[in-house]
Amino acid sequence: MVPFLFYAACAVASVGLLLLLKPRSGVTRSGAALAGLAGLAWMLALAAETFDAARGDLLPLGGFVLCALISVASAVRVITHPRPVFCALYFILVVVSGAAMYVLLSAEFVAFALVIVYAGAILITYLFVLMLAQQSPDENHGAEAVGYDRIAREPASAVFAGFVIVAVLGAAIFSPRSTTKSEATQTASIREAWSDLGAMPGLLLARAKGIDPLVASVQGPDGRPIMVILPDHSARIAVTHTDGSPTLVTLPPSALPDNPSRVGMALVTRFPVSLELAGVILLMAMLGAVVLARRQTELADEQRRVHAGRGRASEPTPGGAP
Amino acid sequence: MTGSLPAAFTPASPPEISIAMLVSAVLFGLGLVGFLSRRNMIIMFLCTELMFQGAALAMVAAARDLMDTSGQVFVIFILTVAAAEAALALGLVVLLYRCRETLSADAWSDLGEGPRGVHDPEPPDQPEQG
Amino acid sequence: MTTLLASIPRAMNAPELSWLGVVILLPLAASVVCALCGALKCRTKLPAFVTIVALGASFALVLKAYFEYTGPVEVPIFEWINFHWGSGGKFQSFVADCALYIDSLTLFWMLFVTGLGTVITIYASEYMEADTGAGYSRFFFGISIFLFSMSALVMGDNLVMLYLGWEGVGLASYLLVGYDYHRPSAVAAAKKAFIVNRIGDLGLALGIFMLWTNYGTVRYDELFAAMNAGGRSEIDWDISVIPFLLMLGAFGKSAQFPLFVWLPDAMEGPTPVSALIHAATMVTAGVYLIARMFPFFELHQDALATVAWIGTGTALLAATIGMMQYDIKRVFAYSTISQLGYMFMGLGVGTTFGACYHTFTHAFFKALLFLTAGAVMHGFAGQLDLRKISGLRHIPGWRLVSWTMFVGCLWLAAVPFTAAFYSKDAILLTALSSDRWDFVLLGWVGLFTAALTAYYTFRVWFRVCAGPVKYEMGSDGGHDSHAAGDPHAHAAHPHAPRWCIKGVLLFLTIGAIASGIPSYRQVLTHAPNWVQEMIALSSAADGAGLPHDGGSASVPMLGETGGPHHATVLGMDAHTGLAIVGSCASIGGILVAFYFHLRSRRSADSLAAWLRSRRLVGWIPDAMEHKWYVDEIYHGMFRMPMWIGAQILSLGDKHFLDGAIVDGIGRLPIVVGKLFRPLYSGVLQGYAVTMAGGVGLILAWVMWVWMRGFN
Repeated sequence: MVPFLFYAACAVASVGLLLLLKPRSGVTRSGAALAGLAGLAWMLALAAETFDAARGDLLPLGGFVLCALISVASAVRVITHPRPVFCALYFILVVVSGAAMYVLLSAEFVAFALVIVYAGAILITYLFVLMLAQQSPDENHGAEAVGYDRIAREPASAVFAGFVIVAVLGAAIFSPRSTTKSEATQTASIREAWSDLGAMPGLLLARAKGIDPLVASVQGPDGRPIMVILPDHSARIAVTHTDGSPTLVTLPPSALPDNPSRVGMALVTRFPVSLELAGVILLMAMLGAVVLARRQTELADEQRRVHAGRGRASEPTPGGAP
Repeated sequence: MTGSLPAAFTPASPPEISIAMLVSAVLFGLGLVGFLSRRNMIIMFLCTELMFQGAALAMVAAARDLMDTSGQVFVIFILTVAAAEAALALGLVVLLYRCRETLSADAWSDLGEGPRGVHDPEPPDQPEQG
Repeated sequence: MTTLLASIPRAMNAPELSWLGVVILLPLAASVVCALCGALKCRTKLPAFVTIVALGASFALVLKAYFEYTGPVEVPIFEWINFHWGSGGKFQSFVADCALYIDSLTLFWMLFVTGLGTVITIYASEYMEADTGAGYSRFFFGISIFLFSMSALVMGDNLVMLYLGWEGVGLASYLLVGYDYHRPSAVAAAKKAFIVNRIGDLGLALGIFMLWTNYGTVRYDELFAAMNAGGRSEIDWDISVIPFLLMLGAFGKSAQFPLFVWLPDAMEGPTPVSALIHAATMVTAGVYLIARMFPFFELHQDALATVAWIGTGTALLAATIGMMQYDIKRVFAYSTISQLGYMFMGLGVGTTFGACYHTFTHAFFKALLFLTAGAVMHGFAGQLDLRKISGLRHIPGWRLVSWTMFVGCLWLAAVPFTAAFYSKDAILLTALSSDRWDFVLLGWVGLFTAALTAYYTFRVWFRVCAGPVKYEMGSDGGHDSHAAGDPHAHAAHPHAPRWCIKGVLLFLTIGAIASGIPSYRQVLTHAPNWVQEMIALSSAADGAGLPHDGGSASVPMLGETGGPHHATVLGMDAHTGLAIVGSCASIGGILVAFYFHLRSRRSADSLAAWLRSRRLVGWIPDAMEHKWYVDEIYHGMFRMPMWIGAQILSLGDKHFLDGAIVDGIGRLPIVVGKLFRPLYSGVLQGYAVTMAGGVGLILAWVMWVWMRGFN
């Protein structure tokens, strides 16, 4: 893919975004939205050049593209909406469409984790704080948003920076790379999945029983199942029947563990330290939040105004900063 | 119980991955633009969360392409860090709000000497309840 | 002309004569003592005494060497410049040790250099007495440095020592001409002398380089041996250019055209300096150079002819200028240039004997003339305008000065039976009896110039020393100003010289007369001329005019009409013809001067006015008075363009180098700082933009530069 076309598409989208950031008349705004959309569509089209119609994956791809469009549009609204609460709400929409994309990318656990943690916890916190720190509109401006929410700061340089980043990242993404190792990666990942299953004896037993109800135990002499992976990606394990006779059961590929099991397995077996550290990070955050939320010295109205820089400096009192 | 390979183990279709990467880059860029152009402190942090979103999407797409669950594991850690950061950031923002009675980031420009760019067009308003 | 004589005698190594090195060291030691006197602010005449003693001792040692002289010797003193590289063969070494090359030419020169040096220093000890203190010490320091350099120049055994002395005398001349450094004219004159000399020195240096590149050595005996040994069948350009380069150096030092403009201005220095340096010794260094390197001048047939032409031209030019000068010292300065022109003519037409003999006699009478002018200046508080002093010989106390000046003028005019007559005759005889037509022409020009010389010399004497007594005191200018507490404050009357000055004048008169003794002996008793013998036993032998084996005796001797061909002058035999014509020229000049400057002085003015009124020739007197505008021409040709160039460069330096580059570089950080200052406005997003920009740049670099290597 020619990078130059990509840069052009980025430029068109950037111009559209710039015009959206500077609130002018509604005509400009809709025109800008159209331009931005056009740019985005162009980019997506460029990305989808490698689409092979013969494979027949049109429907999932269509769904994917729809989620992508929703995600990007919501992100644009996040950054251009003058009222902060709406920004948070649009962000929730971004998260949800992102989760949909994750599901289509076979990352089900992460999709739901995203929705629960992000949309359910983090964004709710943001909403709380927004409402806490909201300034009520005064008589002069009515129900309009406050000035510092309406007017963007130097959108041109911001958009330019964004354009540079996206252009470079896009060029990196779409630079030619070899794709000759899909077979090997597939085999490796299936092998790893089977070994993950082998490390979960209970699940393995359940799967084996699903194939052959007479299976009593799947453990080998040293306590681990003996598994052989066949070329067609199924696995043959040595089981013991209820009557004690050893047989072999072939598990089809559909018996592979599903996404949450695999993610959990990976977390525990391959990233235990990171898991612990994540816990530590959360502990630190909690402690920090406790420290931050300590009770402040109560300031009188007058002193608080002085401290905020808005009143007469009758007596310079050091404020109530912790 | 059929013999077909689950979807996670079939090679991903390249346009899907390409579009996912592209969207991730776009989300990251949009988050950056929003961070640089918004003046409400909370919304600025929200835009940094948007950048996290982009990164997470890139991770998941790569995990799908390489059929390795490490990417998804990393997204979990992203979530962890985002949560920790949001907690502390919002706490700080509240404290800052209490000091200056405004959420505008321009109120905290004491380190500068030169021209300050676009100023808050209206003067700070009447005292607000915290 | 390319078969050279086999008779430049080979110098023998004589380390036992290393005491002769003391001759060079004594003036150097005296200079150190003078410097110490100056530093210690000694107010007596000690520097003068020390210098006189040192120079007298040098003269005594030179005499001793003369009486013990047996043949050319080479006396090593110590190793100075001694480089060998490679295998140290002929062109892989450069040796210029401090050593002496003593042959008869050296001794001849050293005799009159040290002798006159001593005598003139005695004169100067009284002349400069008004300045005892720092100035006195400085003066004698300069004199000592001068004599040290001159000794090194004459006695050195290689061209590098000659060059050392050459530069040293130039330095001493600069120091001494600019002695009264409060006067801008003196400072300017000193600079001019030094710079014009430098131009000549360039030629000398290049000549030395060319000699080394062609012969591999700069030592005299090795050079002469190389000349003896090899007749090079064909002379390439780089050898034939050597004499021209050397002659350029000689012209610079000896004030010949076009480098003569410094000598008249150098009269700004004190008179003993003019006498010693600019009459008797330093300006003869050029003559010495050519005499010493005479075999090399025969390498190219036009080299000697060039010398002759330039010498004669300068002689005529200077004589015409001298005719119209009013400052006594300037007249004598131009006469020095003119006589030096004769010496070069002598060298050019092939008689080194004539040139060196004329140098010898000229040293005496010119020093005498300058010292008498100095006495006048000393007594009349700086008055030197010959229109303002008259009848000096009638003033009591000045009789000796007048009559010694008379003797000097007679010698300068080459009146018959004076020593200068014989020496000038030697030169003109060779010129007139030469085979070449242009040398004959030069001889006639020389005769005409002799007439002019006689005229202007006696113009001075008749105006200053004869006629009605009338004088105007000078303006106390220069160093001649006596201190306020001086008992002979001579606001009204001149201050006659005392015995130091008078004694020296007498001595020099006797010396001038005595310098003719070799010729008298030769004429009366047909004994060989002492000077001629001295020259013949040296490297200048080819022009000595004595027959020698293997050479061509083309110069008839004085007193003989021998030689392979009979030259004639006006139909008579060359020698007698020249004697008659020469006598007529000089006496005629004297008579003309007598008429115009003693008999009826007003007629001189009316003649001058009449000449000026004639359109055709009216410009000539003005041009002569303005020195033929040579200085102005130099100013226009060289100094103005250089000044303009310097102005342009100065502007370029100010605006471009200083302004654009240096100041620009200085302003660059300010501009860059102003450019980047908005980034540090303290606003959060400003810093964020910077960070994002940096990240973008790094990413871009990674993408397009670093990752390329992986594809």
